[in-house]
Amino acid sequence: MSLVNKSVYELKNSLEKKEINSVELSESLLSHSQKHNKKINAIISFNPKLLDQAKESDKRRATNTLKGELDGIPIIAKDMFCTKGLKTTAASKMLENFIPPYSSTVVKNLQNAGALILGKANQDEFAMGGTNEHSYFGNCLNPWNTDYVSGGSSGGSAASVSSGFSPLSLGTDTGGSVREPAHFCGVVGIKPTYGRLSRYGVISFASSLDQPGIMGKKVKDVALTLELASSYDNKDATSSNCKVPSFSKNINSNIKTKKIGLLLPEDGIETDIVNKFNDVKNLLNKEACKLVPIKFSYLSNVACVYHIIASSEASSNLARYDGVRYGYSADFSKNSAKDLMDFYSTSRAEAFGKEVKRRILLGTYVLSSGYYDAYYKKACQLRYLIAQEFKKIFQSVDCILLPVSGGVALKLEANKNNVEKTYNHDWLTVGANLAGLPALSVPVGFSSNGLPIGLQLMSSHFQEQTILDIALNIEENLQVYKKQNSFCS
Amino acid sequence: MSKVKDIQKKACIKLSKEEESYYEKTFFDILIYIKQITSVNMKEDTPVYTHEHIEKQLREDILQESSVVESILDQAPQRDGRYFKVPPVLGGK
Repeated sequence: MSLVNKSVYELKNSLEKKEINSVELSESLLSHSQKHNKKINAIISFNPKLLDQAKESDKRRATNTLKGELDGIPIIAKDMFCTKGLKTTAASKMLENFIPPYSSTVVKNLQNAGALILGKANQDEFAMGGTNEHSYFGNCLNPWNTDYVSGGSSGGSAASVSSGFSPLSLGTDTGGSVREPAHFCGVVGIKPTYGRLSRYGVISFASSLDQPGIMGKKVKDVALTLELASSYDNKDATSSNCKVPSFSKNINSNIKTKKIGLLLPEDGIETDIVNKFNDVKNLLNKEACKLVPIKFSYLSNVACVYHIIASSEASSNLARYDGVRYGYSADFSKNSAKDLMDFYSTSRAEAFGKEVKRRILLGTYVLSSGYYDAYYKKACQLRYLIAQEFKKIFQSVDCILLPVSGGVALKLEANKNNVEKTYNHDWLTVGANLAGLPALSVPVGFSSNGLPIGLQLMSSHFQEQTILDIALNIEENLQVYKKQNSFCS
Repeated sequence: MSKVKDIQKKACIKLSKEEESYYEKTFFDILIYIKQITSVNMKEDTPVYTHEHIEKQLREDILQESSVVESILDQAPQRDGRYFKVPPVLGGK
Protein backbone atom coordinates (compact mmCIF):
# COMPACT_ATOMS: atom_id res chain seq x y z
CA MET A 1 0.00 0.00 0.00
CA SER A 2 1.41 3.40 -0.96
CA LEU A 3 1.54 5.67 2.04
CA VAL A 4 2.45 8.77 0.06
CA ASN A 5 -0.33 11.35 -0.31
CA LYS A 6 -2.56 9.94 2.40
CA SER A 7 -4.29 12.48 4.59
CA VAL A 8 -3.65 12.62 8.33
CA TYR A 9 -7.05 11.08 9.02
CA GLU A 10 -6.40 8.23 6.57
CA LEU A 11 -3.02 7.55 8.19
CA LYS A 12 -4.49 7.74 11.71
CA ASN A 13 -7.12 5.23 10.67
CA SER A 14 -4.56 2.84 9.15
CA LEU A 15 -2.37 3.10 12.25
CA GLU A 16 -5.33 2.50 14.56
CA LYS A 17 -6.44 -0.56 12.56
CA LYS A 18 -2.81 -1.79 12.64
CA GLU A 19 -2.74 -1.98 8.83
CA ILE A 20 0.55 -0.11 9.08
CA ASN A 21 2.88 0.93 11.87
CA SER A 22 4.80 4.15 12.34
CA VAL A 23 8.14 2.62 11.32
CA GLU A 24 6.70 1.51 7.97
CA LEU A 25 5.08 4.90 7.47
CA SER A 26 8.24 6.81 8.39
CA GLU A 27 10.46 4.61 6.19
CA SER A 28 8.07 5.05 3.29
CA LEU A 29 7.88 8.87 3.56
CA LEU A 30 11.58 9.19 4.26
CA SER A 31 12.64 7.18 1.22
CA HIS A 32 10.07 8.97 -0.97
CA SER A 33 11.24 12.41 0.13
CA GLN A 34 14.95 11.56 -0.08
CA LYS A 35 14.44 10.30 -3.62
CA HIS A 36 12.58 13.38 -4.87
CA ASN A 37 14.22 16.06 -2.76
CA LYS A 38 17.17 16.14 -5.16
CA LYS A 39 14.84 17.50 -7.82
CA ILE A 40 12.98 20.18 -5.86
CA ASN A 41 15.26 20.91 -2.86
CA ALA A 42 12.38 21.25 -0.40
CA ILE A 43 14.21 19.82 2.61
CA ILE A 44 17.39 21.24 4.13
CA SER A 45 18.01 18.43 6.62
CA PHE A 46 16.43 15.12 7.60
CA ASN A 47 15.96 13.96 11.17
CA PRO A 48 18.49 11.13 11.70
CA LYS A 49 16.50 9.83 14.69
CA LEU A 50 13.16 9.57 12.85
CA LEU A 51 13.07 5.77 12.71
CA ASP A 52 14.05 5.40 16.38
CA GLN A 53 11.28 7.82 17.29
CA ALA A 54 8.85 5.87 15.09
CA LYS A 55 9.81 2.68 16.95
CA GLU A 56 9.00 4.43 20.24
CA SER A 57 5.62 5.44 18.82
CA ASP A 58 4.90 1.83 17.82
CA LYS A 59 5.78 0.72 21.36
CA ARG A 60 3.34 3.28 22.76
CA ARG A 61 0.65 2.00 20.41
CA ALA A 62 1.31 -1.60 21.46
CA THR A 63 1.02 -0.67 25.14
CA ASN A 64 -1.97 1.64 24.67
CA THR A 65 -0.02 4.67 25.93
CA LEU A 66 -0.32 6.94 22.91
CA LYS A 67 0.70 10.54 23.40
CA GLY A 68 -2.11 12.02 21.30
CA GLU A 69 -3.91 12.37 18.00
CA LEU A 70 -0.81 12.56 15.79
CA ASP A 71 1.15 9.70 17.35
CA GLY A 72 3.51 8.17 14.82
CA ILE A 73 2.78 10.64 12.00
CA PRO A 74 5.82 12.33 10.40
CA ILE A 75 5.59 16.07 9.72
CA ILE A 76 8.01 18.65 8.30
CA ALA A 77 8.89 21.96 9.99
CA LYS A 78 10.19 25.06 8.26
CA ASP A 79 13.78 25.73 9.31
CA MET A 80 12.59 28.77 11.30
CA PHE A 81 11.27 26.50 14.08
CA CYS A 82 13.82 25.64 16.75
CA THR A 83 14.00 21.87 17.13
CA LYS A 84 16.02 20.61 20.09
CA GLY A 85 19.08 18.71 18.90
CA LEU A 86 18.27 19.26 15.20
CA LYS A 87 19.97 21.94 13.11
CA THR A 88 17.85 25.07 12.66
CA THR A 89 19.37 27.31 10.04
CA ALA A 90 16.73 29.85 8.92
CA ALA A 91 18.27 28.96 5.51
CA SER A 92 21.18 31.25 6.34
CA LYS A 93 24.92 30.86 6.42
CA MET A 94 24.64 32.77 9.71
CA LEU A 95 22.96 29.77 11.39
CA GLU A 96 24.36 27.01 9.17
CA ASN A 97 25.54 24.99 12.18
CA PHE A 98 23.12 26.17 14.86
CA ILE A 99 21.67 23.38 17.00
CA PRO A 100 19.02 24.80 19.35
CA PRO A 101 19.02 23.65 22.97
CA TYR A 102 15.21 23.76 23.04
CA SER A 103 12.20 23.33 20.77
CA SER A 104 9.65 25.95 19.82
CA THR A 105 6.31 25.70 21.64
CA VAL A 106 4.43 24.82 18.44
CA VAL A 107 6.82 21.95 17.66
CA LYS A 108 6.66 20.82 21.29
CA ASN A 109 2.84 20.87 21.28
CA LEU A 110 2.75 18.73 18.15
CA GLN A 111 5.41 16.37 19.53
CA ASN A 112 3.32 16.10 22.69
CA ALA A 113 0.49 14.95 20.42
CA GLY A 114 2.87 12.29 19.07
CA ALA A 115 3.99 13.90 15.79
CA LEU A 116 7.49 13.03 14.57
CA ILE A 117 9.77 15.50 12.80
CA LEU A 118 10.81 14.04 9.44
CA GLY A 119 12.93 17.01 8.38
CA LYS A 120 13.43 20.75 8.21
CA ALA A 121 12.07 22.62 5.21
CA ASN A 122 13.83 25.01 2.86
CA GLN A 123 12.74 28.66 2.86
CA ASP A 124 13.87 32.15 1.99
CA GLU A 125 16.68 33.24 4.32
CA PHE A 126 15.19 34.43 7.63
CA ALA A 127 11.78 34.18 5.87
CA MET A 128 12.56 37.26 3.76
CA GLY A 129 11.19 36.67 0.27
CA GLY A 130 8.21 35.41 -1.64
CA THR A 131 9.80 32.93 -4.04
CA ASN A 132 12.23 30.72 -2.06
CA GLU A 133 15.02 32.04 -4.28
CA HIS A 134 16.84 33.58 -1.31
CA SER A 135 17.97 30.47 0.53
CA TYR A 136 21.63 29.83 1.38
CA PHE A 137 20.86 26.19 0.50
CA GLY A 138 19.57 26.91 -3.01
CA ASN A 139 16.16 27.46 -4.59
CA CYS A 140 13.20 25.28 -3.72
CA LEU A 141 11.41 24.48 -6.99
CA ASN A 142 7.72 24.11 -7.72
CA PRO A 143 6.79 20.40 -7.87
CA TRP A 144 4.16 21.08 -10.56
CA ASN A 145 6.79 22.52 -12.90
CA THR A 146 10.39 22.90 -11.83
CA ASP A 147 10.91 25.94 -14.08
CA TYR A 148 8.75 27.83 -11.60
CA VAL A 149 9.24 28.95 -8.00
CA SER A 150 7.58 27.19 -5.07
CA GLY A 151 6.72 30.53 -3.49
CA GLY A 152 7.97 31.85 -0.23
CA SER A 153 9.05 32.18 2.21
CA SER A 154 7.74 28.77 3.35
CA GLY A 155 8.38 27.25 -0.10
CA GLY A 156 9.91 24.02 1.20
CA SER A 157 6.97 23.39 3.54
CA ALA A 158 4.44 23.82 0.70
CA ALA A 159 6.45 21.84 -1.89
CA SER A 160 6.95 19.00 0.63
CA VAL A 161 3.24 18.54 1.28
CA SER A 162 2.43 18.97 -2.40
CA SER A 163 4.93 16.22 -3.28
CA GLY A 164 3.72 13.80 -0.64
CA PHE A 165 6.84 14.05 1.55
CA SER A 166 4.56 14.41 4.57
CA PRO A 167 0.84 15.01 5.10
CA LEU A 168 1.53 18.17 7.12
CA SER A 169 4.09 20.89 7.46
CA LEU A 170 4.74 23.96 9.57
CA GLY A 171 5.49 27.34 8.04
CA THR A 172 5.67 30.91 9.23
CA ASP A 173 3.68 33.79 7.79
CA THR A 174 4.92 37.37 8.21
CA GLY A 175 3.35 38.81 5.06
CA GLY A 176 1.83 35.82 3.27
CA SER A 177 4.64 33.28 3.60
CA VAL A 178 2.27 30.36 4.26
CA ARG A 179 -0.64 31.34 2.01
CA GLU A 180 1.34 32.30 -1.08
CA PRO A 181 3.44 29.09 -1.38
CA ALA A 182 0.29 27.10 -0.52
CA HIS A 183 -1.40 28.81 -3.51
CA PHE A 184 1.63 28.22 -5.77
CA CYS A 185 1.96 24.53 -4.81
CA GLY A 186 -1.72 23.57 -4.51
CA VAL A 187 -2.05 22.84 -0.78
CA VAL A 188 -4.11 24.25 2.09
CA GLY A 189 -2.27 26.81 4.23
CA ILE A 190 -3.54 28.72 7.25
CA LYS A 191 -2.11 31.72 9.06
CA PRO A 192 -4.08 31.90 12.29
CA THR A 193 -4.91 35.04 14.27
CA TYR A 194 -1.76 36.76 15.58
CA GLY A 195 -1.37 35.35 19.09
CA ARG A 196 -3.17 32.05 18.44
CA LEU A 197 0.09 30.10 18.01
CA SER A 198 3.09 30.84 20.19
CA ARG A 199 6.10 32.49 18.56
CA TYR A 200 8.43 31.14 21.27
CA GLY A 201 11.30 29.30 19.62
CA VAL A 202 10.46 30.57 16.15
CA ILE A 203 13.37 32.58 14.74
CA SER A 204 12.25 36.21 14.65
CA PHE A 205 11.88 38.24 11.47
CA ALA A 206 9.29 40.92 12.26
CA SER A 207 7.84 40.20 15.68
CA SER A 208 4.58 42.17 15.39
CA LEU A 209 3.73 40.35 12.14
CA ASP A 210 5.25 36.86 12.49
CA GLN A 211 2.82 34.00 13.06
CA PRO A 212 3.38 30.26 12.69
CA GLY A 213 1.10 28.56 10.17
CA ILE A 214 0.08 25.09 9.09
CA MET A 215 -0.05 23.44 5.68
CA GLY A 216 -1.70 20.21 4.63
CA LYS A 217 -3.39 18.55 1.68
CA LYS A 218 -6.79 18.48 3.35
CA VAL A 219 -8.68 21.13 5.32
CA LYS A 220 -9.64 18.72 8.12
CA ASP A 221 -5.96 17.83 8.67
CA VAL A 222 -5.12 21.50 9.01
CA ALA A 223 -8.03 22.06 11.42
CA LEU A 224 -6.88 19.22 13.68
CA THR A 225 -3.26 20.34 13.64
CA LEU A 226 -4.17 23.97 14.38
CA GLU A 227 -6.11 22.80 17.41
CA LEU A 228 -3.19 20.70 18.67
CA ALA A 229 -0.55 23.37 18.01
CA SER A 230 -2.47 26.15 19.80
CA SER A 231 -1.91 26.98 23.45
CA TYR A 232 -1.42 29.98 25.67
CA ASP A 233 2.31 30.36 26.26
CA ASN A 234 3.74 32.59 28.97
CA LYS A 235 7.06 32.53 27.13
CA ASP A 236 5.52 34.66 24.36
CA ALA A 237 4.27 38.04 25.61
CA THR A 238 1.87 38.28 22.66
CA SER A 239 0.37 34.81 23.11
CA SER A 240 -3.38 34.96 23.55
CA ASN A 241 -5.24 33.16 26.31
CA CYS A 242 -8.38 33.07 24.16
CA LYS A 243 -9.98 29.61 24.43
CA VAL A 244 -8.90 27.17 21.69
CA PRO A 245 -12.02 25.73 20.06
CA SER A 246 -12.13 22.11 18.96
CA PHE A 247 -11.70 23.03 15.29
CA SER A 248 -11.60 19.37 14.25
CA LYS A 249 -14.88 18.45 15.97
CA ASN A 250 -16.72 21.66 15.11
CA ILE A 251 -15.76 21.71 11.45
CA ASN A 252 -18.86 21.77 9.27
CA SER A 253 -19.19 22.29 5.54
CA ASN A 254 -22.76 23.53 5.86
CA ILE A 255 -22.19 27.23 5.27
CA LYS A 256 -25.73 28.27 4.41
CA THR A 257 -26.46 31.94 5.24
CA LYS A 258 -22.80 32.83 5.78
CA LYS A 259 -22.13 36.40 4.68
CA ILE A 260 -19.09 36.53 2.43
CA GLY A 261 -17.45 39.74 1.22
CA LEU A 262 -16.04 39.46 -2.30
CA LEU A 263 -12.82 41.39 -2.81
CA LEU A 264 -11.67 41.11 -6.42
CA PRO A 265 -9.45 44.04 -7.44
CA GLU A 266 -10.17 45.44 -10.90
CA ASP A 267 -6.50 45.50 -11.93
CA GLY A 268 -3.49 43.29 -11.38
CA ILE A 269 -5.23 39.90 -11.39
CA GLU A 270 -4.56 37.34 -14.16
CA THR A 271 -7.56 36.01 -16.10
CA ASP A 272 -7.13 32.42 -14.86
CA ILE A 273 -7.46 33.65 -11.29
CA VAL A 274 -10.44 35.91 -12.07
CA ASN A 275 -12.16 32.91 -13.69
CA LYS A 276 -11.56 30.68 -10.66
CA PHE A 277 -12.73 33.47 -8.37
CA ASN A 278 -15.99 33.68 -10.32
CA ASP A 279 -16.41 29.87 -10.26
CA VAL A 280 -16.07 29.86 -6.48
CA LYS A 281 -18.41 32.83 -6.21
CA ASN A 282 -21.04 30.83 -8.14
CA LEU A 283 -20.43 27.81 -5.94
CA LEU A 284 -20.91 29.84 -2.75
CA ASN A 285 -24.04 31.35 -4.23
CA LYS A 286 -25.44 27.83 -4.82
CA GLU A 287 -24.59 27.00 -1.20
CA ALA A 288 -26.96 29.81 -0.18
CA CYS A 289 -24.26 32.13 1.16
CA LYS A 290 -24.99 35.82 1.08
CA LEU A 291 -22.41 37.43 -1.18
CA VAL A 292 -21.50 41.09 -0.88
CA PRO A 293 -18.97 42.85 -3.15
CA ILE A 294 -16.59 44.91 -1.01
CA LYS A 295 -13.80 47.43 -1.56
CA PHE A 296 -10.70 48.02 0.52
CA SER A 297 -9.44 51.56 0.25
CA TYR A 298 -5.84 50.95 1.39
CA LEU A 299 -5.15 48.08 -1.02
CA SER A 300 -2.61 50.09 -3.01
CA ASN A 301 -0.68 51.04 0.15
CA VAL A 302 -0.65 47.86 2.23
CA ALA A 303 2.50 46.34 0.71
CA CYS A 304 4.45 49.56 1.22
CA VAL A 305 3.27 49.85 4.86
CA TYR A 306 4.19 46.22 5.38
CA HIS A 307 7.71 46.54 3.95
CA ILE A 308 8.50 49.61 6.05
CA ILE A 309 7.35 47.92 9.28
CA ALA A 310 8.74 44.47 8.50
CA SER A 311 12.16 45.82 7.48
CA SER A 312 12.32 48.04 10.57
CA GLU A 313 11.57 45.14 12.88
CA ALA A 314 13.97 42.89 10.97
CA SER A 315 16.84 45.37 11.30
CA SER A 316 16.28 45.37 15.05
CA ASN A 317 15.69 41.61 15.46
CA LEU A 318 18.70 40.60 13.38
CA ALA A 319 21.01 42.85 15.37
CA ARG A 320 21.45 39.88 17.70
CA TYR A 321 23.63 38.11 15.11
CA ASP A 322 26.98 39.59 15.98
CA GLY A 323 29.30 36.60 15.62
CA VAL A 324 29.90 36.39 19.37
CA ARG A 325 27.22 34.33 21.09
CA TYR A 326 26.10 31.97 18.36
CA GLY A 327 26.05 31.67 14.61
CA TYR A 328 28.72 32.57 12.08
CA SER A 329 31.86 34.37 13.18
CA ALA A 330 34.38 35.94 10.82
CA ASP A 331 37.86 34.45 10.91
CA PHE A 332 40.35 36.96 12.31
CA SER A 333 43.03 34.42 13.16
CA LYS A 334 45.48 35.92 10.62
CA ASN A 335 44.61 39.63 10.68
CA SER A 336 43.14 41.07 13.84
CA ALA A 337 40.01 43.19 13.61
CA LYS A 338 40.46 46.97 13.72
CA ASP A 339 37.95 47.22 16.52
CA LEU A 340 34.88 45.44 17.81
CA MET A 341 32.63 47.12 15.21
CA ASP A 342 34.92 45.80 12.47
CA PHE A 343 34.51 42.31 13.91
CA TYR A 344 30.70 42.56 14.11
CA SER A 345 30.22 44.12 10.69
CA THR A 346 32.58 41.68 8.96
CA SER A 347 30.83 38.66 10.52
CA ARG A 348 27.42 40.01 9.48
CA ALA A 349 28.59 40.91 5.97
CA GLU A 350 30.07 37.46 5.37
CA ALA A 351 27.03 35.53 6.66
CA PHE A 352 23.90 37.40 5.59
CA GLY A 353 22.59 36.98 2.04
CA LYS A 354 21.70 39.70 -0.44
CA GLU A 355 18.00 40.10 0.40
CA VAL A 356 18.55 40.01 4.16
CA LYS A 357 21.20 42.73 3.87
CA ARG A 358 18.86 44.81 1.72
CA ARG A 359 16.07 44.62 4.28
CA ILE A 360 18.36 45.38 7.21
CA LEU A 361 19.68 48.42 5.34
CA LEU A 362 16.12 49.58 4.55
CA GLY A 363 14.98 49.06 8.14
CA THR A 364 17.98 50.91 9.49
CA TYR A 365 17.29 53.79 7.10
CA VAL A 366 13.59 54.23 7.96
CA LEU A 367 14.31 54.06 11.68
CA SER A 368 17.13 56.58 11.54
CA SER A 369 16.79 60.10 12.81
CA GLY A 370 15.08 62.37 10.30
CA TYR A 371 13.19 59.56 8.54
CA TYR A 372 11.44 57.84 11.47
CA ASP A 373 8.36 60.12 11.47
CA ALA A 374 8.01 60.22 7.70
CA TYR A 375 8.24 56.47 7.22
CA TYR A 376 8.06 54.24 10.30
CA LYS A 377 5.62 56.28 12.37
CA LYS A 378 3.42 56.98 9.38
CA ALA A 379 3.40 53.29 8.46
CA CYS A 380 2.31 52.40 12.03
CA GLN A 381 -0.50 54.98 11.82
CA LEU A 382 -1.61 53.64 8.45
CA ARG A 383 -1.51 50.16 9.92
CA TYR A 384 -4.03 51.37 12.51
CA LEU A 385 -6.33 52.70 9.75
CA ILE A 386 -5.99 49.44 7.79
CA ALA A 387 -6.98 47.43 10.88
CA GLN A 388 -9.92 49.78 11.51
CA GLU A 389 -11.16 49.30 7.95
CA PHE A 390 -11.05 45.51 8.34
CA LYS A 391 -12.90 45.85 11.65
CA LYS A 392 -15.65 47.79 9.90
CA ILE A 393 -15.88 45.23 7.08
CA PHE A 394 -16.21 42.36 9.56
CA GLN A 395 -19.17 44.09 11.19
CA SER A 396 -21.17 43.24 8.08
CA VAL A 397 -19.59 40.01 6.74
CA ASP A 398 -18.33 36.76 8.30
CA CYS A 399 -15.50 36.30 5.87
CA ILE A 400 -13.74 37.85 2.87
CA LEU A 401 -12.95 35.89 -0.28
CA LEU A 402 -10.02 37.31 -2.27
CA PRO A 403 -7.14 36.09 -4.45
CA VAL A 404 -3.89 35.12 -2.72
CA SER A 405 -1.83 36.76 -5.41
CA GLY A 406 -2.30 38.46 -8.75
CA GLY A 407 -0.92 35.45 -10.58
CA VAL A 408 0.17 31.84 -10.34
CA ALA A 409 3.74 30.74 -9.54
CA LEU A 410 6.39 32.88 -11.21
CA LYS A 411 9.13 31.59 -13.45
CA LEU A 412 12.46 31.40 -11.67
CA GLU A 413 14.18 34.83 -11.55
CA ALA A 414 11.10 36.52 -13.09
CA ASN A 415 11.29 39.56 -10.79
CA LYS A 416 15.05 39.49 -10.31
CA ASN A 417 15.78 43.12 -11.14
CA ASN A 418 12.46 44.72 -10.32
CA VAL A 419 12.27 45.87 -6.71
CA GLU A 420 8.77 47.34 -7.01
CA LYS A 421 7.32 44.13 -8.48
CA THR A 422 9.11 42.04 -5.86
CA TYR A 423 7.90 44.18 -2.96
CA ASN A 424 4.36 44.63 -4.31
CA HIS A 425 4.04 40.91 -4.94
CA ASP A 426 2.36 40.28 -1.55
CA TRP A 427 -0.21 43.11 -1.73
CA LEU A 428 -3.13 40.72 -1.20
CA THR A 429 -1.72 38.82 1.77
CA VAL A 430 -0.01 41.40 3.98
CA GLY A 431 -3.30 42.98 5.12
CA ALA A 432 -4.06 39.97 7.33
CA ASN A 433 -0.64 40.28 8.99
CA LEU A 434 -0.89 44.03 9.51
CA ALA A 435 -4.28 43.62 11.23
CA GLY A 436 -3.44 40.30 12.97
CA LEU A 437 -6.32 38.51 11.23
CA PRO A 438 -6.61 34.79 10.39
CA ALA A 439 -6.43 33.89 6.70
CA LEU A 440 -6.23 30.71 4.69
CA SER A 441 -5.42 29.62 1.15
CA VAL A 442 -7.49 26.78 -0.28
CA PRO A 443 -6.81 25.12 -3.66
CA VAL A 444 -9.52 25.85 -6.23
CA GLY A 445 -8.05 24.55 -9.50
CA PHE A 446 -5.31 25.04 -12.07
CA SER A 447 -4.25 27.68 -14.57
CA SER A 448 -4.15 27.15 -18.33
CA ASN A 449 -0.43 26.25 -17.99
CA GLY A 450 -1.14 23.64 -15.33
CA LEU A 451 -0.08 25.52 -12.21
CA PRO A 452 -2.17 25.43 -9.04
CA ILE A 453 -4.49 28.26 -8.01
CA GLY A 454 -5.61 28.92 -4.45
CA LEU A 455 -8.04 31.50 -3.15
CA GLN A 456 -7.82 33.29 0.15
CA LEU A 457 -10.40 33.43 2.94
CA MET A 458 -10.04 35.93 5.79
CA SER A 459 -12.12 36.38 8.92
CA SER A 460 -12.07 38.46 12.08
CA HIS A 461 -9.84 37.75 15.08
CA PHE A 462 -10.05 34.19 16.44
CA GLN A 463 -12.71 33.20 13.86
CA GLU A 464 -10.56 30.50 12.24
CA GLN A 465 -13.54 28.13 12.39
CA THR A 466 -15.41 30.27 9.85
CA ILE A 467 -12.68 30.08 7.23
CA LEU A 468 -12.05 26.38 7.90
CA ASP A 469 -15.76 25.61 7.38
CA ILE A 470 -15.95 27.55 4.12
CA ALA A 471 -12.65 26.03 2.92
CA LEU A 472 -13.98 22.55 3.68
CA ASN A 473 -17.10 23.26 1.63
CA ILE A 474 -14.97 24.44 -1.31
CA GLU A 475 -12.69 21.40 -0.96
CA GLU A 476 -15.61 18.93 -0.88
CA ASN A 477 -17.22 20.54 -3.93
CA LEU A 478 -14.13 20.99 -6.09
CA GLN A 479 -11.97 18.03 -4.91
CA VAL A 480 -8.84 19.65 -6.32
CA TYR A 481 -6.68 17.45 -4.05
CA LYS A 482 -7.42 14.47 -6.32
CA LYS A 483 -5.02 15.80 -8.94
CA GLN A 484 -1.45 15.01 -7.93
CA ASN A 485 1.87 16.25 -9.29
CA SER A 486 4.43 13.87 -10.81
CA PHE A 487 6.48 13.69 -7.58
CA CYS A 488 3.60 12.05 -5.75
CA SER A 489 4.01 8.65 -7.38
CA MET B 1 28.77 60.42 1.76
CA SER B 2 26.42 58.12 -0.16
CA LYS B 3 23.23 56.85 1.53
CA VAL B 4 24.31 53.21 1.56
CA LYS B 5 27.77 54.03 2.88
CA ASP B 6 26.19 55.88 5.79
CA ILE B 7 23.55 53.22 6.52
CA GLN B 8 25.88 50.23 6.40
CA LYS B 9 27.77 51.65 9.38
CA LYS B 10 24.57 52.00 11.38
CA ALA B 11 23.41 48.55 10.25
CA CYS B 12 26.79 47.05 11.15
CA ILE B 13 27.28 45.38 7.80
CA LYS B 14 30.60 45.92 6.03
CA LEU B 15 29.77 45.93 2.32
CA SER B 16 32.31 45.36 -0.39
CA LYS B 17 32.71 48.04 -3.10
CA GLU B 18 30.68 45.91 -5.54
CA GLU B 19 27.90 45.39 -3.00
CA GLU B 20 27.88 49.08 -2.16
CA SER B 21 27.33 50.02 -5.78
CA TYR B 22 24.65 47.29 -6.18
CA TYR B 23 22.69 48.47 -3.13
CA GLU B 24 23.15 52.12 -4.10
CA LYS B 25 21.27 51.37 -7.34
CA THR B 26 18.48 49.24 -5.85
CA PHE B 27 18.14 51.50 -2.82
CA PHE B 28 17.12 54.35 -5.09
CA ASP B 29 14.25 52.20 -6.45
CA ILE B 30 13.21 51.17 -2.94
CA LEU B 31 13.15 54.78 -1.74
CA ILE B 32 10.90 55.75 -4.65
CA TYR B 33 8.67 52.79 -3.77
CA ILE B 34 8.33 53.59 -0.05
CA LYS B 35 7.94 57.31 -0.70
CA GLN B 36 4.33 56.63 -1.79
CA ILE B 37 3.45 56.42 1.89
CA THR B 38 4.25 60.10 2.44
CA SER B 39 1.48 61.13 0.04
CA VAL B 40 -1.31 59.32 1.94
CA ASN B 41 -3.50 61.84 3.72
CA MET B 42 -4.47 61.25 7.32
CA LYS B 43 -4.96 63.18 10.55
CA GLU B 44 -1.73 63.94 12.37
CA ASP B 45 -3.07 62.50 15.62
CA THR B 46 -3.99 59.11 14.09
CA PRO B 47 -3.00 56.46 16.66
CA VAL B 48 -0.33 53.89 15.88
CA TYR B 49 -1.43 50.25 15.60
CA THR B 50 -1.37 47.91 18.58
CA HIS B 51 -2.69 44.33 18.79
CA GLU B 52 -5.91 45.23 20.59
CA HIS B 53 -7.28 41.70 20.28
CA ILE B 54 -4.68 40.31 22.66
CA GLU B 55 -5.12 40.92 26.39
CA LYS B 56 -1.94 42.15 28.00
CA GLN B 57 -0.33 39.23 29.80
CA LEU B 58 1.95 40.46 32.55
CA ARG B 59 3.73 38.13 34.93
CA GLU B 60 6.29 38.37 37.70
CA ASP B 61 9.88 38.14 36.56
CA ILE B 62 10.89 35.10 38.58
CA LEU B 63 14.47 33.86 38.57
CA GLN B 64 14.74 30.19 37.70
CA GLU B 65 17.61 27.77 37.44
CA SER B 66 18.48 27.20 33.80
CA SER B 67 19.46 23.78 32.56
CA VAL B 68 20.64 24.99 29.18
CA VAL B 69 23.58 27.26 30.10
CA GLU B 70 26.17 24.77 28.86
CA SER B 71 24.38 24.02 25.59
CA ILE B 72 23.98 27.74 24.91
CA LEU B 73 27.65 28.41 25.60
CA ASP B 74 28.52 25.48 23.36
CA GLN B 75 26.98 27.38 20.43
CA ALA B 76 29.47 30.24 20.86
CA PRO B 77 32.09 30.49 18.12
CA GLN B 78 34.66 30.99 20.93
CA ARG B 79 34.22 30.63 24.66
CA ASP B 80 36.36 30.81 27.76
CA GLY B 81 34.74 28.91 30.62
CA ARG B 82 31.40 30.60 31.25
CA TYR B 83 32.28 33.61 29.07
CA PHE B 84 31.76 34.33 25.37
CA LYS B 85 35.07 35.25 23.79
CA VAL B 86 35.71 37.83 21.07
CA PRO B 87 38.93 38.10 19.06
CA PRO B 88 41.53 40.61 20.29
CA VAL B 89 40.68 44.05 18.95
CA LEU B 90 43.25 46.24 20.70
CA GLY B 91 46.41 44.68 19.42
CA GLY B 92 46.33 41.79 21.90
CA LYS B 93 46.99 38.15 21.02
